Amino acid sequence: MAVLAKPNNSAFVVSASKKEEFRSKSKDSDSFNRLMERTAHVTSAVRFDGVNSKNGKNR
Amino acid sequence: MAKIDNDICYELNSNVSLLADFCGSTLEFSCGNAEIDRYFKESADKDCDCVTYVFSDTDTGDIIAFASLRCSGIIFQDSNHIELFPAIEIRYFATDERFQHIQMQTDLPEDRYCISDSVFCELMRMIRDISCRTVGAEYVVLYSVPSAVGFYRRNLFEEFNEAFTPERHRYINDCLPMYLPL
Repeated sequence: MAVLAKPNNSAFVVSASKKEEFRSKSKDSDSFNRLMERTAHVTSAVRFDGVNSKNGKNR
Repeated sequence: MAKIDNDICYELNSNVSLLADFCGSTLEFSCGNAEIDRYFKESADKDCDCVTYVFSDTDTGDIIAFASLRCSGIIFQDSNHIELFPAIEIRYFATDERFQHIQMQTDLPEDRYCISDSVFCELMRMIRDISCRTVGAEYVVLYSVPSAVGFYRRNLFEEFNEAFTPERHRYINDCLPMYLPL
């Protein structure tokens, strides 16, 4: 299985009536931090070097 | 060189570069999807909508994965009002077949964490950095093929709810729109 996101030419359009609900949920979200915390449990040695890598370390 | 034994990756050293700066060959890359492979090998370097990054094995030069990013937004719309919140869209993300389904060691054995998760996490870190230092964005958005929805859920992406109104376009077919707040 390829892990991929497929291209399209569609916009991401949401009904304006759902904006407050959507924005409120987004502001409370800590998904990005939880995603980063997930990597803290990786015990394999991981290193990324290059574009925008601040310290080259994945964890 | 990535140290892999019995489908477990013990060490991963990757170099991240712009496709425009990548010195190796893209010919051997295959993610298992001919359409995606063709884009990467033939069109990505000419696609003005996207910037493509290559994750390669530091020692062998083998391409582990690539990702193409572009500016996007989430539009809130009704009959007389439009409001847009900026986003970065992952237009393509694909892992080479040789690096698929290979798990990393983790102290959370119930968490299936693969090389693709590790690369994707680094991509998300890069996107966050772009949104903080280069061009503002509040969300990461993508359309996932059905077989990859589980991967993106595992990486904390959420599906848009029923209020989402996808435009009709034959190319997206069963793809699922997803997002993650930055």
